[in-house]
Amino acid sequence: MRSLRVRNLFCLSTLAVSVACLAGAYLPQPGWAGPLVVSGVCLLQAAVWVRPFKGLASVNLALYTGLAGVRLLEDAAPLLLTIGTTAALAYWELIQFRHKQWTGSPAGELAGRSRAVEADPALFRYHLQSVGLAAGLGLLLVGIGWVVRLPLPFGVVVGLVLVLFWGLNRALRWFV
Amino acid sequence: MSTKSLFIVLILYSLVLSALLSRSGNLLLLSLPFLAYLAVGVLRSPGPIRVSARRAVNVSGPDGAAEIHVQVILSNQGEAIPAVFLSEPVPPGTRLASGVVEKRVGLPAGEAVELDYTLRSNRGSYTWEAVHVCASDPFELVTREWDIPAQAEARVAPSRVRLRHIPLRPRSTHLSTGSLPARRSGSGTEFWGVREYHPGDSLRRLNARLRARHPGRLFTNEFEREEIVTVGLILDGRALADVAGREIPLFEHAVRAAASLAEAFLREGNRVGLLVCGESLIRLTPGYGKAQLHSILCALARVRTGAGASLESLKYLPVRLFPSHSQLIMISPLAPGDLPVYTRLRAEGYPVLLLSPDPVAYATAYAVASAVPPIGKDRVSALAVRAARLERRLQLRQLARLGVQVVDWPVDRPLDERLRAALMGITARMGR
Repeated sequence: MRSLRVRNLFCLSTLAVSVACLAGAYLPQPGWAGPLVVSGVCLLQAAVWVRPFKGLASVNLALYTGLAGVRLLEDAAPLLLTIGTTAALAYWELIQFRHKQWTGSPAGELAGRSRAVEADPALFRYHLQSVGLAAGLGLLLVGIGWVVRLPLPFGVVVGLVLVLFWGLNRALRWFV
Repeated sequence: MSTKSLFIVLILYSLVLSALLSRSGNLLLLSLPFLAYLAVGVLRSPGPIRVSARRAVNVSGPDGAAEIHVQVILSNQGEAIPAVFLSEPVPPGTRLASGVVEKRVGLPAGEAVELDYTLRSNRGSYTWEAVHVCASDPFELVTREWDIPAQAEARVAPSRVRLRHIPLRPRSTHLSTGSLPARRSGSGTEFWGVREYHPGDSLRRLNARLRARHPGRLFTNEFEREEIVTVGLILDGRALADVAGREIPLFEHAVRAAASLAEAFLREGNRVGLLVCGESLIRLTPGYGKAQLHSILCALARVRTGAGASLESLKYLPVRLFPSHSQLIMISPLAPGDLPVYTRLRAEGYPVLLLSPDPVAYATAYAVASAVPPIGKDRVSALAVRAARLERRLQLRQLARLGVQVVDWPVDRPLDERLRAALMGITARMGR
């Protein structure tokens, strides 16, 4: 029961941070587009919270990242948006985990999922640690990237990106 | 690759490509949390696991409505596994009564996880080969699956009704004291006849009336010997012999009848064998006692209807299975074209008793829910039911003419009552 409360607290915190960051980036914009975008994302995030459909959560994360990317192209509040995207990613992961655990709860049964899955507090703790680690590492990398700005030629950047893609591909083939 | 990792990789690639195309360092920064997420998932993924599984199965409760308690213990002898997903399939024919069949846990090194659940089953034979284990990183980006061997077997015997003595009059019996009349004089309870007194005869058996009628001569009452018999139970499990009803299919009634008959005959010391023509041919040579009853119940637990074996296989009935003149009891709803089988059995000298669960009465009583209007209510279906009844009655009459003792059993009536009523009637007719 306690783990459930802690999980809900973390979910709501990440939700609040992500929405607040997006609001911070979009609301100063003149016109109606900013409030519309923020309220739309807010509604979607809330919908994901109420009914944790896997697809909806993923669509929401993709949309959030897209909106953050659009605003970043305008060079508006890059740190805020990066923090917001990290929070949105953490929220997405927590919701996915919650969705898996839901199948074992009475609410899951009511939602038409007949198979019972038991939640495990140890797994939840480990998962939460991992989410924290991933978010922390992500923000650390962003911070390093923000502070250490290396002026590289475009060709080198393309080369580095290709190396990154190749490395990712090999790593995923190896592990996944 | 899991859907989740594919989704994250797609976002990551899109962000990096967009950053390249727009030459925006900020967009590249935005991709870093996703990269960190992937890195943590991949680095925390489990390596080769060292686990072992143990399964304990316990069947409790009455036959025909038993509970199967299953306990699976998965022990981790290797490194800690961040996330383990254990799952067990619920065997067809059972339903989950309590507990869980799936569990998602973190499994530290040297620890074990237990899956505890109870299934409810009416009848069946169930085997488990392995436990499905799925190990992954905490984000389930990298997932590996194994089937860890953990074998077990459970059997739920069919429910039985306790039958009273079945009044059969077999033509041939064994020379061991039993409960069925042997058609020859000896020590028994039923009066057989009178003969002249021989020295050594018990004085308690002297016939006083004949002695009074014939002065100077003595007569002794004779009684019919009661011996044991070899009973061959033949269960018809062909798919066409089954009718699915609302609750219990007709075949289940037949299986229960076979189990009840086996128990009744074995209780009275007879030898009982079993032959099932169903999904596969199941044969049990005749035997005595509780061990044989257990074997028969185990065999009946696993019978299923099917087209694997037909009644035609009775043509090659081995003599060792049912010796000549042993009493055969067929449990069959009777299908068109079965007559030659009975003719052959009778020609080979087997006394045959047919216990026939009535499919027409069953189908009419338990009208299949999908049938609109219900069977027998409209004119056409009423005519069809009437035709089926007539056909069945004709078939039963033909069998009776062959010398087959026929017990027509509407399954909503008690088996004991129908058996006694039918067999007493046949015995009385034979007596006349």
